[in-house]
Amino acid sequence: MIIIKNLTKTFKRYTVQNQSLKSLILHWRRHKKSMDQIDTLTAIHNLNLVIPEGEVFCITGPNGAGKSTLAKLIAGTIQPTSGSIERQGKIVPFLELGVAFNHELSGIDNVYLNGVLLGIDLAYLRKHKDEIFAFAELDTFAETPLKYYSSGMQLRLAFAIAMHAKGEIYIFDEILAVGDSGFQKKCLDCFHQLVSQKKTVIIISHDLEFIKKHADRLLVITPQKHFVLTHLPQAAYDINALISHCDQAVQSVSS
Amino acid sequence: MISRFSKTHIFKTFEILLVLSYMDLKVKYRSSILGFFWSFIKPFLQFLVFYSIFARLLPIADGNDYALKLFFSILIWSWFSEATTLGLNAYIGKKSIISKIKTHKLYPPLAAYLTPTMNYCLNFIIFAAAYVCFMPAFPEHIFTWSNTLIFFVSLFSISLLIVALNMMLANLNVLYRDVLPIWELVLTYGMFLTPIIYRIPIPKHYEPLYYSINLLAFPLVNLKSIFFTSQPALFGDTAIVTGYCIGMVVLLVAAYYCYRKLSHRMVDFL
Repeated sequence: MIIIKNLTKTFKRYTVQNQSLKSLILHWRRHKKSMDQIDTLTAIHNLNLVIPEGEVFCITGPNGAGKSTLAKLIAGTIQPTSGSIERQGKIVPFLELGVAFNHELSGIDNVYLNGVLLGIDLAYLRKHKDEIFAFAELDTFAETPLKYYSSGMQLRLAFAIAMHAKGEIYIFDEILAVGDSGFQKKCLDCFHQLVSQKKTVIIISHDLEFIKKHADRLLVITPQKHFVLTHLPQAAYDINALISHCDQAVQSVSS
Repeated sequence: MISRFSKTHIFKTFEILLVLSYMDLKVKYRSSILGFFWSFIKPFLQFLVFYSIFARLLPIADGNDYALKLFFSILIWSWFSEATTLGLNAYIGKKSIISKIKTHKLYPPLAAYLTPTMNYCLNFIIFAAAYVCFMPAFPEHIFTWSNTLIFFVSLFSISLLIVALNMMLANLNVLYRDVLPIWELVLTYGMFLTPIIYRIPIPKHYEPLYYSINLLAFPLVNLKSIFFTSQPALFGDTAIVTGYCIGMVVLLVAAYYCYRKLSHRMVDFL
């Protein structure tokens, strides 16, 4: 279960170069003043939300709306500016079409690195490494440095590792369309497996067909930072209309 | 829910640190023919350079045990400089990891400390062998309780110094990229302002101030006092010990403040 209360995240725009140690030391008052004057960008504004256990929760919205920021906040990789997020259960994140890999290391080393950071035991990884590479269809690339992998290969490997991390909450940011059709089918099978195991799955997607088919609830984030929460499949056929008119929608859960 | 102090949590933390530091080591020596052996060869070559200059060309060498003293000091210096340089890049170098998986923000600076520490431990074995073979006059009372205590306390204080600096440098380097060239400069000066190649001629009344600023010098001199009788320990001098303790406390408070203030929003700047 995830409980989000009054969540706000802002970023500084940094349109002016202020990150100088010289200006900090020599003119710290002026530096502080200019730092305070930097314009901020609100990515998430005052969001209240509860995602219960076992729900397939989708987040959609136009580019730049703050979907990935929300995913990162839930995953805990970035901290909120204000508000809180309570997470009950281990989170397995899969963010920004990429994964925590070191491109100089070999595939197998990255399996160990990524695996332990996701909370998998080293002994387990040693025992199941062949399975992981077989799932990713990369059996012959275990010793190859990751820099020689294609982006599809990297994502397949990341997905294979993530499926071995026993979490309670899974976050997929535009990820279930990884690789070719054969691998996509594998991914979907894994997704169904997670759903049948009553895991909480958060999916960020623009794929309305997928959302209509699989989501229990949908959160639409608008560029004006309004949040529209809707149950599916009741609203499934209105998603397009919902997105285009969401700023006028009154179902804002934030205010 | 696993408690922070449970065996499972401690084991998991240890496993993560071990893998992170081992991978750091692998990345460092990627595409290298000699690979991990550079860890041993580099301090030895550094020793040869300094020895040929300062013992042969310039008349700086003091005593018959100068070569061993120099080698020992270089090992400590390599440990310190390598660990802090790695620590400086602890977050920037692991950007792809930190921004995509929730990890404790102390792991990267700690891993940066562990990798050179493993190197140092292995190099220390080489020093011990060289010491037994080449020490002109083997000290009679080297394995006393007080020496053992000084040895471990000194190693602990160097470790504390490195971790505190890493906590500060890693965070500051994300915010201000000027930190890297500044730290390189500090290391260059530090090498010559620390009793590695020669004794620093500090007037007696400035010693407490010197040891409160140069926080590596105090443990280094004490470590040398164990192995080389010509080098007296500083533990008996109350003014120096007080100066060093004040310096250390100021650094630890600054490191903690820096870490608390910056680490939670550091990913926003990566």
